[in-house]
Amino acid sequence: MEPKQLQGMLSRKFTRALAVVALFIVLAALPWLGTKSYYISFFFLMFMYVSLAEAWNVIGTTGYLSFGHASFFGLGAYTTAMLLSKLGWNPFLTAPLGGLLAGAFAFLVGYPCLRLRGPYFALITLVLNMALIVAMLNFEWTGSTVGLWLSTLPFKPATSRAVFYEVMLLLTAAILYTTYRMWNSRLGRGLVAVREDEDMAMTLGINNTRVKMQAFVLSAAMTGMVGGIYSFYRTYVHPDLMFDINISILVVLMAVFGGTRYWQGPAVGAVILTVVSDQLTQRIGSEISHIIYGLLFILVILFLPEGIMGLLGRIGRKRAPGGSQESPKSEVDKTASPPSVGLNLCAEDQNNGHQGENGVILEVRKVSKRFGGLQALSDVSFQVRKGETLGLIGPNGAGKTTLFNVITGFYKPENGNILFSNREITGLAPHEIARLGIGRTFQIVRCFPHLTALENVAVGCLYAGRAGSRSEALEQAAEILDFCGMLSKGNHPAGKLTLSEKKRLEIARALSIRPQILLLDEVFAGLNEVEVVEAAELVRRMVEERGITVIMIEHVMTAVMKCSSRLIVLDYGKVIAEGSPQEIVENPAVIEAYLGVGNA
Amino acid sequence: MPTSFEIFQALASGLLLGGVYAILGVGFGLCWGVMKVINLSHSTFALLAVYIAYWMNVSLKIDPLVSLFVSTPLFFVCGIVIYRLLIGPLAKRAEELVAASMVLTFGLAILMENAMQWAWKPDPRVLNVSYTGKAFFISRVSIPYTAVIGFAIALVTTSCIYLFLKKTYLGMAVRAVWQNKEGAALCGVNIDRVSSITFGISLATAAAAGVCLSLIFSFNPSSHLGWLIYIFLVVIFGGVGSIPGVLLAGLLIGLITNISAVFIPNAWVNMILFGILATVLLLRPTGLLGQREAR
Repeated sequence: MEPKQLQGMLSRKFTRALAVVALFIVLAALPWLGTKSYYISFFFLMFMYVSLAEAWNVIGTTGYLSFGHASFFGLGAYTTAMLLSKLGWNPFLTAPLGGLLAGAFAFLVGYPCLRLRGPYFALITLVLNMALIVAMLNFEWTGSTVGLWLSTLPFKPATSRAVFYEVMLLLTAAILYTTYRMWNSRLGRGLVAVREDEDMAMTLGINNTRVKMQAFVLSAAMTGMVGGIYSFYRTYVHPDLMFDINISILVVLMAVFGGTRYWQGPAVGAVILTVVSDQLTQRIGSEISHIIYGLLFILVILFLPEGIMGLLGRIGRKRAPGGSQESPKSEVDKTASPPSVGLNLCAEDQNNGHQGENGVILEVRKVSKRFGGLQALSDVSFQVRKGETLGLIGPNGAGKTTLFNVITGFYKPENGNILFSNREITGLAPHEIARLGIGRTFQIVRCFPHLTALENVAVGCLYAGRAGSRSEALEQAAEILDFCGMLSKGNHPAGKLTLSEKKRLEIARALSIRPQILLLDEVFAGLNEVEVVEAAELVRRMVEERGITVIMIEHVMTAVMKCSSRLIVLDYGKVIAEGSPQEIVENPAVIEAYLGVGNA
Repeated sequence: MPTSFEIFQALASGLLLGGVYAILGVGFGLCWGVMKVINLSHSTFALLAVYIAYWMNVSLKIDPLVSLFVSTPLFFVCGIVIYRLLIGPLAKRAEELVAASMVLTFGLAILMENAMQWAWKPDPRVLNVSYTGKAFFISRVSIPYTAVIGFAIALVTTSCIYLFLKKTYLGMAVRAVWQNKEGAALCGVNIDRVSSITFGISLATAAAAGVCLSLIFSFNPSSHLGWLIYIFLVVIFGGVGSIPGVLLAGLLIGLITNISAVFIPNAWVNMILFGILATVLLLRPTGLLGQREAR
């Protein structure tokens, strides 16, 4: 790396950090510079909404929109209030306890709730919120409908306002820092993958349930802490105030307004909306200002579907048209030394090389799968030897893709076992199977459309590929893209690639988990002749240079005959033939399956 | 211990109230099913119809039942316009239509609520007509006329929608879009037209529901939020996509609310409803009679 380049980068990073620290100091000094008390209270609320919106987006960015985050806000508020009023504990110390309780509550309700998708998740969180209000209104111990009055700080009002301001500022800074770090962490990448495509995330070794739960609990805990501080600031808690559904909805609107795909989006949305609503209310009274406020939501969602940050991003891309075209090499170089040659793509033998007899790596034993009245697979048995390329062919509807789905854990078979390196993997979850080293591609090409090609591959490196850090993952991803001849497209959004590029990307992504076996589902379909030859070459190199075992479903016969050392033919869910390409071509049962009786 | 009379009274009024919940739910469910649009302003439109009925009654001395014939067609046209201006363009652009539609329609709800507050002041109002508070008796159980009228409107409206969906050509197109948008488009169904008409119908039912509500409840410009909760309850309980399911759910929820109010303190009644809703969502997200949505 050029020393100049390094220097430039360091100074840019340094300037940015300096600007952030300077802003923080200025904000922290505000109350002591004779700023009007109105503005101190206003900034307090603004910081609060910035924190809430950022905390909300930890789970919101996955597309699971919680319309009941006031539940956690209220739980935090009430925990703090109760500890203060019943035990006299200092609320600044108990606010984290409020966060802990809110997190614990999220943990309890998270598992059943996160199984629901789309509008159902939004509704159940809303219902939870309303149920908590009703429960709290009826719960004598917490003051029911009367609410609880809390003691004030032992200072003059101005001083105590300043103290609250500083505490909220600190908390906001902490939450912003946490979310920023999370966004760039393994968890952050996992959440993005879940948002883009849950099934595909699993094939990369991501435990979706766990990732979502972690995000939900973290989000709730941060929200609870903010609620704790707020209850003390208001010196009064009441169910309608602390569990207010308007808070729940306002937070969603702020995050969507700013842009949920960007880590700073919710904060930007919160700042803009608090300022706008404050100014409008001051100038033209609350009713008209609310009408304009409502209109604002309509306009923003209509014209800026990705929020303010989405708009800024678009402008930024237009200004620097070459920006997204640059080779990802530069990004990799920033973070680490050039990729080491021949980085081992294949998973190390985690099972100490127990490969079974004759090097059998995968064994399918009498597997059956039925969908209602359709017997998709019946008693399918075969073995795959290490290092071979096995072709899986058969007419449409023969059960080939079903077989892949059973091997990779997407479907559970009714009968039979699947052994990988002599280890039973039947019934394991898809992400567990991916982590053991079985990779797959999808028949209808899929990708994380909003991530770049490089990021698409890096997700798998971070999870099943066990990269230690994001920079290490990007380095590995660049190496894999290079292997697949896609490095030059590394910074393109995956959704904008051509079909043949998407297919290569799909292979690259499957390689990111360092598979021992790769299941390729019709990777040649839809490609022209030149592209088929190139793709077949890629498969050959995978097998020969990386020692990966390949099972491929294929209809392009010339390619499958050339690539595979052995073929298995499925028809109506049964294995009807097995052997070398030559034997298969001459097998009367196969000809009958393809062409019907009489033509044999 | 409540007497059997009290239980019968609760049964009767619960059933009558349930019909009104059902009609609110039918229109909302139609939108959700056909367009994948969660219309959070559905109950706000119902409230607007309430205010229109109120205003016509107070200033023009027109019976709320007559206002039904004004607001229903008005809202139908209004729905088509709103679809053309807002929902349609949104559906074309947004990737997460569910979230986007919730934000947009909530914006619409805020806008309308404050416009109503500005026009009619935030005080609670009651609509008084000659038959308010009058009732007839079956044995000792009193049946208010207003509830019967509301129930009748609800029943007629839901049946009309049901017949429209089952028997007419356009209704068939609506169901086709509901089940598979691409498939319907391939068969020559004009998705945009069907969607705009669906939205119009949905708002027209909101108008009908509003007139029923005006006869039964007192109201203020923020009443719509409370009604929205009942809409969720009914639609999820009955199943998005099933008109008979929603009707059944509306009646059941009316019954459950009123009967449990006989046995337990009023405030806890809502807890029972939320409990039911949570259970249904978790065990059977498609609702009582709902069918699995095609992916």
